[in-house]
Amino acid sequence: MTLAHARSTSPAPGSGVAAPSHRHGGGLAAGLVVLVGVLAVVAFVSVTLGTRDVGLATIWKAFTDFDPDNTSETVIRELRVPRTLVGLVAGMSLGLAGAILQGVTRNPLADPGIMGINTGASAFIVVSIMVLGVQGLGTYIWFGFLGAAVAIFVVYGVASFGREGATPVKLALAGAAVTAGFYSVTTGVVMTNVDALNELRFWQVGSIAGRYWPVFTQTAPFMAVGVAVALFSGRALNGLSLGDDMAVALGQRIRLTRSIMFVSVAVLAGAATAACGPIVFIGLVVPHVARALCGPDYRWVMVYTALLSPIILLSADIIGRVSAGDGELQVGVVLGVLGAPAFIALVRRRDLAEL
Amino acid sequence: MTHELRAEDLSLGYGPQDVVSHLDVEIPDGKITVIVGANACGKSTLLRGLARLLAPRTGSVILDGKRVQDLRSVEVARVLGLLPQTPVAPDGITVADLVGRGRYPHQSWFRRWSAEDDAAVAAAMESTGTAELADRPLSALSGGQRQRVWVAMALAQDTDLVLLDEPTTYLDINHQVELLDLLTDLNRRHAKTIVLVLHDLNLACRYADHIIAMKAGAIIREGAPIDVIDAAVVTEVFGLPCEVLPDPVSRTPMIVPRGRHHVPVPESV
Ligand SMILES: Nc1ncnc2c1ncn2[C@@H]1O[C@H](COP(=O)(O)OP(=O)(O)OP(=O)(O)O)[C@@H](O)[C@H]1O
Ligand SMILES: [Mg+2]
Repeated sequence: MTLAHARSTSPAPGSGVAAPSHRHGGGLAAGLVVLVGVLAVVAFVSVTLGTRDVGLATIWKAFTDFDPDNTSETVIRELRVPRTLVGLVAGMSLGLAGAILQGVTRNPLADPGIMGINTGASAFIVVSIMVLGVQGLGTYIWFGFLGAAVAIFVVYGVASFGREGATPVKLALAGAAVTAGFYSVTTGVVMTNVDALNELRFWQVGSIAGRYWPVFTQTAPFMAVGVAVALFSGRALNGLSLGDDMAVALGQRIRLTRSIMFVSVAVLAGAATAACGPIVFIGLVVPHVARALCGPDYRWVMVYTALLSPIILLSADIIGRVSAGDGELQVGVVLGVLGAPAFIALVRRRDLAEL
Repeated sequence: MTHELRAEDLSLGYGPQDVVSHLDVEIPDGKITVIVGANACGKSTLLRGLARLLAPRTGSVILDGKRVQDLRSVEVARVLGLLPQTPVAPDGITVADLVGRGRYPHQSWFRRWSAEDDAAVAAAMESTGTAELADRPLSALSGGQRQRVWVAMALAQDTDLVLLDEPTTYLDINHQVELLDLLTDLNRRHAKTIVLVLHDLNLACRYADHIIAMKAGAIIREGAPIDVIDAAVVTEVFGLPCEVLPDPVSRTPMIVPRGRHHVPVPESV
């Protein structure tokens, strides 16, 4: 039952007018190839570059013919590679979590950082370690999920009160309040336990240094699932972006969609936080960059975000490694310094207004 | 294809008070139904209830013999479409992209964009005069152009039942008449059942096969405009004294309001 139109002229088949989302498909696909290339380069630099200079031959040997007594090879295999891999999946996770939140709440400022989700996850993790004596990432990652879920629930719940639902302002305010609450819990717990303070210091500021294989193997499966769900949710987010009424009118089950989306955000943000501490800005800024590149179609936005986020996270990590002389700047610090101006530029842009 | 859409004992609301309470209504199949009534009387609420956007507090909405809440949402969306009164669109979306979103219920993970989608979108844009706007961003259009794009999107959904909440808002008189003519064409040629909320009573009376006059969440009168619309009904529904004359073009009721001014000599009328 095709709608033949009332005014006779027949549609020009393949006129391009009608095939909206793939009109720029060619260009967007080419962009993807470029991004994959850039990501590969950045990942490679992340493995090679550091306080210890390691030649290409050594890197090759570390994988093909590993000699455990060779320090350089060990550094590559046991430190740089897992660190890069953690950065890769955590970057993807944080970026996609932000993109999902922005889509679900139709709010350009939604982000796991601003909504207090990362802080929620870290507060629960810190409390589980310090107060409940939980040991091992494999266990406390669950507290990360729980904390993230609690934060989403509280912030979205509070912000949804009232007729307009979760407006950007209400969401940001509720997020700020919840962040402050969780943050003081974390600080309180840490302050009463000075020994632990040092231990938590790096993690608190967001870092992917010292993230070895166990961190990767224990968090990556969760993030992989979250990333997969996120990459398949473009169609659903497109529906939600037209408003709840229109989404339902078009046949979408919005409660179900929202629930799945929020669970995947909790998994993505919780696992990423468990792996590298609360890293901000990736989830907020990268989806906007993606949108600027490929327009409002979430099927593209998600893929672009998934590639751009690790590029930016790993680049920030590399900058932190090379910029601080002998020591290192944590990636969270670098992102904060670089991300703040980017964020301000973003807010000043007119077209931030509506999602 | 014939369809049945009706509400039984339907109550709808947002706060503690019901906006629509215990209402029974049947939408005549294959006809154009126009809902009229004062601001805030519950027209949009009723439309949203009929389109399952609002869960009933009592009673139910029946679509083709089944309670609409019990049907799969996407199946409903292939039969029944709704254009809300104030739809929202993501920033930067182009006209063609937005109209294409109307095809959502016809697609799935397994069935992506098809030639049929192309045809439906092209037809919808052609008939609403939005084809030449295809590549423009929605945000760069005038209010009336935007409204026509939304209508195009609703038409691209290609449902047998189309509910439109004030589709003529922002349109100049020519585009209003064109849109209503278009809807009449769709109704007559493709047997689509159309339900509209309109504020222009004269156009409502002219284009409606069936008119529903609402007041405070209840239906005051319904039927063919010529049978049910008279000065007493309009005064009751809108609280406005008026004259009702036959429309010189269509012979349907034409409402001429009486205000407090510009009524030269009262007894001369
Ligand atoms: N989302 C909402 N939340 C709370 N109250 C609402 C909501 N939408 C409508 N109402 C209230 O329900 C009543 C009926 O509103 P509705 O939108 O159905 O009116 P309407 O007849 O469509 O009016 P209009 O001609 O102005 O569009 C009004 O009193 C309105 O304030
Ligand atoms: Mg209304």
